[in-house]
Amino acid sequence: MATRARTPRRPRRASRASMGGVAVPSAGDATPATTRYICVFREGADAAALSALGKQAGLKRVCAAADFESGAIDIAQADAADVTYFEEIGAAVISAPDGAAAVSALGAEAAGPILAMEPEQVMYAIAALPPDEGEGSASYLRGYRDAVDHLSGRLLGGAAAEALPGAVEPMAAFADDAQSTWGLQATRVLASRWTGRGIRVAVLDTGLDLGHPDFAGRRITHRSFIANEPTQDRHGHGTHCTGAALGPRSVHNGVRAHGCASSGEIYIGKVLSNGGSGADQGILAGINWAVAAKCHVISMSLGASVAPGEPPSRVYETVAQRALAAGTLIVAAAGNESQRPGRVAPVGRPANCRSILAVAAVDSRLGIARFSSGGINPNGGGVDIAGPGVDVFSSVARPRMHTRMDGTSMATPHVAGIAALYAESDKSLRARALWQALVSNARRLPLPVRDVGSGLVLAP
Amino acid sequence: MPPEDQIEVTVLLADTAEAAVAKVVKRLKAAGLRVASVEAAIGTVSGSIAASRLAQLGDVAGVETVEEQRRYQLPPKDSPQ
Repeated sequence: MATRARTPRRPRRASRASMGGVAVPSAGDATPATTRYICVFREGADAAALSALGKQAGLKRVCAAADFESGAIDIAQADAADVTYFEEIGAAVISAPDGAAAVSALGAEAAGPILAMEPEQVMYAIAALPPDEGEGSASYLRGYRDAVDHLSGRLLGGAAAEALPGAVEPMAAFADDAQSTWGLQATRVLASRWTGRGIRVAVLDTGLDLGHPDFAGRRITHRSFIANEPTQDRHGHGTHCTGAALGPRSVHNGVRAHGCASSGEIYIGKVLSNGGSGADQGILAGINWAVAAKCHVISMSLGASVAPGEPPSRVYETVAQRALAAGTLIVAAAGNESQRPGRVAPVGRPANCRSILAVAAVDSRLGIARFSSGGINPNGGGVDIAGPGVDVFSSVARPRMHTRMDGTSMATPHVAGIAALYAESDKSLRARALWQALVSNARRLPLPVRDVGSGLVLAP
Repeated sequence: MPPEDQIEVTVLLADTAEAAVAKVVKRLKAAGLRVASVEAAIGTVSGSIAASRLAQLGDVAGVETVEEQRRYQLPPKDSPQ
């Protein structure tokens, strides 16, 4: 996830003071001319875009943000570059002291490889945009704004740890009603025309109550990777997660809707025991099973805490890359180790891998959950996106049927279920493209990127 | 559970091609790994090995890296999940 890459230098106009609550200039304000632009490339057109920047605008010195992060290049090299390229989000910051006209022309080509381009200063105006409304240019802006969001957070480093007071309107609160959970309302699942039909979603957890009425009539493929325990969930956690990802999206047996991909194909891998414990062997076996079954999405509401500065697992990172190459996106819980406001704990293992989508939890006012782990560690240890994770109503093993739970475990299956909606909406949205669809369409929140990544996941 | 001196590990293979996996698994066994499972689609092998032989496992041809397995435990039910 180059979205997590540190950038070589802070943009000249991004001072801490300006992010600390000083009035945000609108796009129309008179601001000094900049020679730096942020641009977002059309999906799959990164190479063409970089080539066009080189040939048509003379911007030939390209450095990849990932190279900086890995130490392959240093600050001096990055500073001298014309283009700092963020591979995972398909975006770049470019310096064009002499080529501003040529660069602008490139950005104006309707069918060109560059989807959006704006002067760097728009970083502030964009923060004041209302939550994504409308179509057409709005979706264009969403992708761009997401990149800016990521870039600004990374560029500001530690300063991004504080929210941007005054930059965004206060959030409305959501509440469960007789028809649906607050989480389905907030993520706009209820308004989506997609239900995940034909999309395979694997939930790797404590199993599922296979006879639960919420899943009656659904095709369920399941397997246990826990010795001497069948898939049947006698813990409750796995059923709750499955309910949020794949449960009913309309009132069902008199119970409010609480699931995102109500027509998704259910794959259940039991990798945690009825006592809630497991080990890497079972989890990797579950991932292997889901990848071999060509699942489009794997939801993993599990993790182990890591120490500040602890690097991610090379095994999980490579496995996640191989899964992506096979068309499978792994979504995992960031972890619940924070005690906010005092302590923010690092994203746990394996969500701290660059190629695993790490999910934070927000509450019904779209504030960060006090327990939600944050992007403290480098090399992929950031949060990528947030989902509903406080007071989440969903299925639980009979006889109780339904209950409320808190945790990034609950936020994760919302993201996985919504990923299935995107995957159904467009056959090209698989693996990294699916990742990009999720983060670029997320609702920006007035919270640090460190805590919520791109923001709240939204359904297509 | 493995005996006291055995360490549970995950071995990441450099190549996920079927033939390559089979070859490396054979070498891993020869190097002392008690293979519990082979995850061929993602290129990992899970197993246990005597602590004294752990270091040499990483030197087996076709092995990318070796990590000690971790255990995971869901929190108590009154805590965030």
